[in-house]
Amino acid sequence: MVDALRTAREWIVPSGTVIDLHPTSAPATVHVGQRLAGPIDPGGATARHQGATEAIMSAVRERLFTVEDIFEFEFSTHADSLEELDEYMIENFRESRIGQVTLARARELAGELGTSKVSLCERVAAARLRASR
Amino acid sequence: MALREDPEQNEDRALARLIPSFTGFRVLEIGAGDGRITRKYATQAASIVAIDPKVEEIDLLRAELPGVDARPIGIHDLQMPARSVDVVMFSWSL
Repeated sequence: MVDALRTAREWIVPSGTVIDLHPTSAPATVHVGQRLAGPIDPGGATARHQGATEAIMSAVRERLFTVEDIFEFEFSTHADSLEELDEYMIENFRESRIGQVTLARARELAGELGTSKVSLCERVAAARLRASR
Repeated sequence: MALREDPEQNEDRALARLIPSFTGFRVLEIGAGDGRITRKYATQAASIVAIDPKVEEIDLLRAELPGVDARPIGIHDLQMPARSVDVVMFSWSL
């Protein structure tokens, strides 16, 4: 991953900018209505996302870039049903899935709350890096 | 109702905080997918090269944003002149 940042450094002009958006290593969570059902089963995503964060830190240590801004935000995906969310994850996520425990809890909550509307909440790390001269 | 990504527009606000204006910038976006982020700044940037190894998604991006140089490749297959862009964006792809 740090190789990608080294390559980017070659492509940008002096004092150019690298923007990075990637999920944090915190597992995304499934919600029914406003209630938390539980975390997803991230598979290998946790290590991959941690690796992205470490790559940025490595690039900074190598003095390829300086960090101008870094923060986190929440990215939510809303679906009308657990099945729709499951299909979305299969289509868009390499290996992360809702997971059996969270799926069972989400079904319980859906019954309790009388709604099938669900959401997936991901924490995303955002950074603006400035190329070092 | 269809599935909705980020109806709270938190990603839009994050992008605006990171780069308030893309006006005049030559942008390389890595992991552009179907252009979810690309379309947010496409009208401002001077030029955009958008890459993603998923052919179907790049086809969607190209259809919606014909002015973008969209390529179905990954970063390791991309050839770019040195010092040729102002901004490199890793869109959920690092």
